[in-house]
Amino acid sequence: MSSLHGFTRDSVVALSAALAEPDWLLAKRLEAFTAFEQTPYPDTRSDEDWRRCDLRRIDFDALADIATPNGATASAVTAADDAVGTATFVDGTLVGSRLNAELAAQGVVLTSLHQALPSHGELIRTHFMTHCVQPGEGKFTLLHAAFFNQGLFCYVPRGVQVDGALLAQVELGGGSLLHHSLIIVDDGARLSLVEEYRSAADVTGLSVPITEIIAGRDAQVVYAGVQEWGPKVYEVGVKRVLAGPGAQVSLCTGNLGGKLSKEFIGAALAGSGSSVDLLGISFPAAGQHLDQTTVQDHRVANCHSNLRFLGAVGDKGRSVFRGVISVHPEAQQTDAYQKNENLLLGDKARADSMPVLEILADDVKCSHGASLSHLDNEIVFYLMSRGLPRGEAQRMMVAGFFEPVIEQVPVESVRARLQHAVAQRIDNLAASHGGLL
Amino acid sequence: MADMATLVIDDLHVSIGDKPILKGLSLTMKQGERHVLMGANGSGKSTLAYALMGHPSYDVTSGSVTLDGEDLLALEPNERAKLGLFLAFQNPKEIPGVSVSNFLRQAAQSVRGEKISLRDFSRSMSANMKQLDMKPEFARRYLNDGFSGGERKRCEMLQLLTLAPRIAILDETDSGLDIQMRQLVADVVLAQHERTGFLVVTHYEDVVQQMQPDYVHIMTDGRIQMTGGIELAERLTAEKSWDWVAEEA
Ligand SMILES: Nc1ncnc2c1ncn2[C@@H]1O[C@H](COP(=O)(O)OP(=O)(O)OP(=O)(O)O)[C@@H](O)[C@H]1O
Ligand SMILES: [Mg+2]
Repeated sequence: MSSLHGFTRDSVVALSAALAEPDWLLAKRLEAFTAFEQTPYPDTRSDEDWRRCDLRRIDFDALADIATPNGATASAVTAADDAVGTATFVDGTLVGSRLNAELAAQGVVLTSLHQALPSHGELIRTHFMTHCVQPGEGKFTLLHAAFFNQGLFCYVPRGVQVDGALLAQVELGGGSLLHHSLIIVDDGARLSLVEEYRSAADVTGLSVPITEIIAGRDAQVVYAGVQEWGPKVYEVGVKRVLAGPGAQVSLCTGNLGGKLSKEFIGAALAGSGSSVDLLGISFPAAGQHLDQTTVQDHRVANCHSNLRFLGAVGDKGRSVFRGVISVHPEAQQTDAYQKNENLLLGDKARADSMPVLEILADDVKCSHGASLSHLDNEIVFYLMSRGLPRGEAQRMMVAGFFEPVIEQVPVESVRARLQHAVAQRIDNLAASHGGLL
Repeated sequence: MADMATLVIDDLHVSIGDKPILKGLSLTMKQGERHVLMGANGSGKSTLAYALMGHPSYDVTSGSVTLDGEDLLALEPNERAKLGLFLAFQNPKEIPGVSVSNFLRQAAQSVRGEKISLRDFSRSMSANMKQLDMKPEFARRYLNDGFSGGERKRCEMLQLLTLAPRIAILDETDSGLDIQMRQLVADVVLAQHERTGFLVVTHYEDVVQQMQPDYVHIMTDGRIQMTGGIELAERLTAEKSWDWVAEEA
C-alpha cells in the first residue's frame, strides 16, 4: 500500500481502492468527506464540548499521512496467554489474529472490518456508523468516516458465551491512524474484550479512533479500552455503547498516554431495562492534557447507568472531565449516577470537573459528585511508620486511588491489565521527576 | 542478654507549632520489658509516640532518643521502623484501595530488606490472623476502610505481629476493644515479650493488671512524674484524680 498524504478526496478514493471496498463503503466515505470539507474545526472558545481543549496545538496538515503498514510486525505486542483470542493491528492493518477454535466454531468473529466484509457485509452495513456513532456528529466523526483504516470487527452470535477475554492491540508507527472498532454482541450473548492502544515514545502521530459497541437484548459486555500512546501523539476519539433491552455493560476506559487527548465516552441506553457501568481512569503527567466528555444518554424508561471516573494528575499535568447525564422525556424510572474524583500530585497539577444534567423526565433518580484531593500526609506517615520509604508509600497510595474503580471491572484479566498500566505510569512518573511529588 | 535493644529517651522536648507539649521527658526501656504509660488526657502520651516514630508535625526542640546507641531523631520514619520501632496508632488511618495483605507484605519486605515469597507470606499471615481471631477475608479488605474501631485496633496488632519489632508502642490499643479482645491483646503482648519491649499507653487499671508490667509511669504536663509498679495504677483507681501525682512527685 502506498503512502497517502493529505486529507483529500484523492486519498479517500485511493484508500478505498487499496482496501478493495465495495461501492457502498466508498460512497459512505465520500459522503462523509464532502461534509467534512464543509464543516469547520470546532471553535474551542464557543463550543462547550471543546472549551478547554486547545486544538490549535495540533498541526493537522503535518500529521495527515494516513498510516499504512510499513512491513514491520507488531513490536508492542505482549504475549497474551490469558486471552482466548487476539487481533493485532499495526498502522491500520491487521497483522495477526488468533481465536480459540471452539469460539470460532460457534460463529464468533475476531478480525478486521475489511476481512469480514465478504462474510458479514450486511451486518457491517447495518451497524457501521449508522445508529451507534454517526458520521455527521462532528468534524472528527466525519474525518473518521472518510479515512478510517482497517479496523476491528468482533461479532458474538446470539446466545454465545465467550469465557475469558479477547484482546485487540492497536499500534501506531506514525502519521494518522483512524482505527475503527465495531463490536457486536448479539441477543443473550456474552463478551469481554480489551483494546490496547500503543506507540513508541518517539512517534509523532494523530489518532482519531471510534469504538462502537452494539449490545443486543440481554447481552452482557465488558469492554476495556486502554490508551497508552507515547508522549507525541494527539487524539480525538469516541467510544460508545448502544445498549439494547436488558443489556448489561461495563465500559471501562484507561486514558493514560498522549500529548493531547480528547475522548467522548458514552452509553446510549436505548433498550428498556439496560444497565451500563462507565468506569474510567486517567493519569496525565507533566505536559499532558487528557480531556474526557462522558454522556449517559437515557433514551428509554427503566434504565440504570453508573459512572465513576478517577483521575490522578501529575505535576504540570492537566485533566478535564465533563460529565453529561441526559434523560429524555420518555425515560421515566431512570437511575443515573456520576462521580468524578481527582487526585492532584503537585502544585501545578490541574483538574477541571463539570457535571451537566439535562433531565427532561420527572420520575428519575440522578446524582452527581466531584472531588479534588491531594495525597494525605498523615497516610504517608502511617505507611512510612510501617517501613515503606516515602516514594513507595506515595506509589502505593496512587495505585490505591485507582483500585476502587479497577476492582469493579468484572473480569480478572482486564483488571490485571489496568493495574499493570497504572503501575507503569507511576513508575514512569517516579523515574522522570525523581519522585511522584 | 547482650543483644537486647535499648531505647533511651533523654530530656526530650517536643513542640507542635510553637506550643511546647513534652517538657523534658526521660525514659529508658529494653527489649523484653513491659512499661505502662498512664496520664491525663492531653498530657502528651500520643505526642511522645508520634515524636518517637518521626511524625513531621512534631518538632523535637531538644533532647535525644537513641535505639542501641543510634540517633533515632536523625532518621526517617521508615528507617526507624527498619531499626525495629513500631507504633500501634491510637487512631489508625483508613487507606482505600490498598488491601491489608498487599500492604502488609510490602511493609514486611521493607522492614526486613528482602523479598518474601507470596507463599511464605500468606502462611505467616494466616497464622497471625488466627492468633488475633480475625476472619481470613480481612486480608483482602482495604486497610481500615469501613473497619469498626475494634477491628482497626486488631489490625494494628496484626501489623505488629507481622513486623516483629524490637520496641513497640501501643497507644491506647485497648480502647474500643471488648473484654475478650482486650484479653487477647494482652496475651499477644505477653507472648511476644521475649522479642519485643512494650510501651503500653492506657487509662485502665484492669489493662495494667493484664499486662503485668515491669514498670508503670505516670505522666502529667509533658513529663514523667512518677515511676513504680502496678500499685500506681491501683492508686489511680482509688483516687480517681491526678492531684496526688503533682503533690507527691
Ligand atoms: N496537631 C496539633 N495541633 C495543636 N495541638 C495539638 C496537636 N496535636 C496534639 N495537640 C495538643 O497536644 C497536647 C497533647 O496531646 P496528646 O495527643 O499527646 O495527648 P494524650 O496524652 O495522648 O491524650 P489522650 O489521653 O486524650 O489520648 C494536647 O493539648 C493536644 O491538644
Ligand atoms: Mg493519646
